[in-house]
Amino acid sequence: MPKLPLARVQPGQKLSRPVTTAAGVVMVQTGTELTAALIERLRAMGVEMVAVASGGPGARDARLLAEQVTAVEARFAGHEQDPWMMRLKDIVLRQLAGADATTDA
Amino acid sequence: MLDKAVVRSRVEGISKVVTIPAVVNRILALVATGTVSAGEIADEIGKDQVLAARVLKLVNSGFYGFRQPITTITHAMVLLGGDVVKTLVMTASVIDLVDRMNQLLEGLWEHSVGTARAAGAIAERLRMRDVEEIALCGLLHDIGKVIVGQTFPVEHARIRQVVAERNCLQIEAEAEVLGVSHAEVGMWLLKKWSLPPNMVYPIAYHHAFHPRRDFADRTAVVHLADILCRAKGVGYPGDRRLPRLDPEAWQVLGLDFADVEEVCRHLTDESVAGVLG
Repeated sequence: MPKLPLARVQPGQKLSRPVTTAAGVVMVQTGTELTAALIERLRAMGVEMVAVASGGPGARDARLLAEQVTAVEARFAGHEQDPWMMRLKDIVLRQLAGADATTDA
Repeated sequence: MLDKAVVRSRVEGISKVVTIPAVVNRILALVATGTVSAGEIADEIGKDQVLAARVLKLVNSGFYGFRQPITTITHAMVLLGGDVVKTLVMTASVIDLVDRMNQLLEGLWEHSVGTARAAGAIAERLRMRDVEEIALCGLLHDIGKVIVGQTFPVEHARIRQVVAERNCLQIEAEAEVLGVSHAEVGMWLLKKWSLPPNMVYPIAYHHAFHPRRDFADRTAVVHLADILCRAKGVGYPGDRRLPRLDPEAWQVLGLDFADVEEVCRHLTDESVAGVLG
């Protein structure tokens, strides 16, 4: 499983590789199940990407969401200089993340 | 590239190739007189049971949002107005839109329903008159793609190929392969069917807005609705790109981003599922 942006991983997923500092010191071990609190802590530490195991609860949703985000990015390609289009993109991405949150609940 | 006049005459020829049932011609003649009552038109539609059933199916598809089922053509006429029923009759009789759209392009029907819903929602927020009619413009805005696919199968295949190779907008591939756009093709057909200009213009110019053209407000609604539906990824319009929003169309509408957000919120795969599909 490739690394995912931290914003896209969900509680219940397990790390498939350890989270380390830039110097290589392990902060969180492989196999650790992510919780909302842990994700928040990683974010606070400036961690941007983590590798999570596929197949765990929520993993499929996370992968689907990541695919949808990629599709939105591709659709809006070429409109980067258009402020109106970029605002629309923000709305779409926000609703995508929001819809996922409600599915989870 | 084909000659534009040749394309046009072939598109207009469809009305001869596809037999319009006699009843539809009589209904069109009745509507054209302008003095006919809803009941008289309903009587005519009622003479063709298949047609009547299709019209009622469209009316009750969930698309118009009536809480109570509409069971008679007269009732539909009163609620939706003569022009909408006329358009429904034309589309229901000549084109079995759902099947043809999805045979040709998987997801085009869902894109059409999504655009219709968005157009209706935008028109409602703007308190425009004849919201149902504007929604119907949204439903039919890509009818030209169906006609191109049916009438020019070779060019249609080439257009699909160009879109796949270059990841461009379908309308760009159409310009190159066919020399005309699906919007123009749709316009020719709808004009040939004698649909009123307030239905034809928004469809004809949904990719070419101009603030001083007739029915600019409706055209702007369909233009925006198409983009919102694409942005949300509802259905498949034939490509995976987004046309740029025309700033003048945005100005004409006078909406803000809270409106856009609200319209987008209701624009989901679930919202277009099960509408006649």
